[in-house]
Amino acid sequence: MKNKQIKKAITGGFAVGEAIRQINPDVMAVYPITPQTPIVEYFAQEVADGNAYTEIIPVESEHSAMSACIGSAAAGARSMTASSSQGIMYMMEMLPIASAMRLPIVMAVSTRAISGPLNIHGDHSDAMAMRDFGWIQLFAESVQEAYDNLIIGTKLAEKALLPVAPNMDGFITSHSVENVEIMTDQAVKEFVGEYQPTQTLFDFNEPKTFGAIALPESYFNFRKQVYDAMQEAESKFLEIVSDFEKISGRKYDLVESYQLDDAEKVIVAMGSTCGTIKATVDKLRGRGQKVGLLKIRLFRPWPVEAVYQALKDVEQVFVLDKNLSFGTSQVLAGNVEIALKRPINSVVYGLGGREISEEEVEKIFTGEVRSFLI
Amino acid sequence: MKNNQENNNLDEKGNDDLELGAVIKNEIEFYPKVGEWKTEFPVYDHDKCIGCGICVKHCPEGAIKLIKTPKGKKAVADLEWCKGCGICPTVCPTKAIQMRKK
Repeated sequence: MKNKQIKKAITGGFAVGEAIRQINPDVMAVYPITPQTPIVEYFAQEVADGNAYTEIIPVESEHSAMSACIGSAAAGARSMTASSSQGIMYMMEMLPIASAMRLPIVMAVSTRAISGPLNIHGDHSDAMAMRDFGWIQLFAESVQEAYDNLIIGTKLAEKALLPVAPNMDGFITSHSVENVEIMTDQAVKEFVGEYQPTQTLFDFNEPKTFGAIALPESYFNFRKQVYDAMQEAESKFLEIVSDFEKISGRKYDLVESYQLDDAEKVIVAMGSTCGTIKATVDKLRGRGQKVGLLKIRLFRPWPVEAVYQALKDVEQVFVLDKNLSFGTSQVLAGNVEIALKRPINSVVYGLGGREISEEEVEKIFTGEVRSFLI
Repeated sequence: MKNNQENNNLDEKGNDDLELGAVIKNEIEFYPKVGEWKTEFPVYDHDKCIGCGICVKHCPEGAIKLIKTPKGKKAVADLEWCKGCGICPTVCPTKAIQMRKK
């Protein structure tokens, strides 16, 4: 049954902050960085006003923020943080430790370009840099999805026992006001439930050591354990989104197919640009062109089968990457190629917050733009 | 986790015996007593010991305890866990602890 929801016009940062307030985590370790700042700005105000009972730890760096999350999560607390770009680069050392220790930490990410040159605007470089660290990654197109992904992500983290990073595009989503349907606090709390840690540092009857050394005879096995958990996370995600649909009325899947049924030319993309592409697809469909969009929601674990099923009959596939890998194929393009086992057209766009227009998306469909939409 | 190096194929080998997240369950009886490492051991002169407990707080192994005696509280080390590091004689305010060769 769909619950009562309140419509609000808020930015992505505030929507994610509101979702965190509704979940009311035990610990939030925070360090400011653009464009993540509005999330914690909003949430810290709510805690100061007595609307959430979270222990906010104002740490001295992002490395410490993730370390504090790892420590508190190992102690059995529901732990969250939020970061971007250089912050993620600085906590990089701690990210694979969080996943290898199987701690369900949630880190809200406002994706941003990485230095250098110094740039504060949105692209996916930071999220792509952490893609192989055992973190589940969700991408949001709109403020609504950013809000929903945080709630879904929190439950997914605790079911899969892996850290989750719900990503939204820095500035484009995090600082833009959109209409959002906010669920009631009661509905969110019932959905995520009370956190029951499987093993904690505070178990005095069975004391345990967390984060110890693993030598060659066991290290490989522990890494494989994370790999297996990641493989299983996909089906857990599907269970959670079907439960989420019952309370919110919003249906989500691993990927979103837009006008794909008879499409001959399809763009694959992630994040806020999907809105621009949808508008272009509608325009071109009006002119009788068979075009479509495949939006990736769950980026890690990579939904190979869902991508293959969506694109197997499509003639031309254009994959849009908002990040640049030097000396190899682009990340999303490479992943789509793995799923399809045939060549695709790879286009890089929007680095450092460069805008993309409907006309430029049209040029991608016609093949005018080859590799770089500069 | 048991060391299972005969079969290196992780596709076939189950991971059922793995602890979640490489957590070690501290089953203390299976661990080697670090007392075997020491070359020197502390001797407590209970006539000088005033039972202040400073050595208890400084012992890195937590091997020193205060016990009740007719003369008041006195420090005693568990030599099975004492590594012989020599910190306790350094911190003792009454020089009641001396290190001796094993």
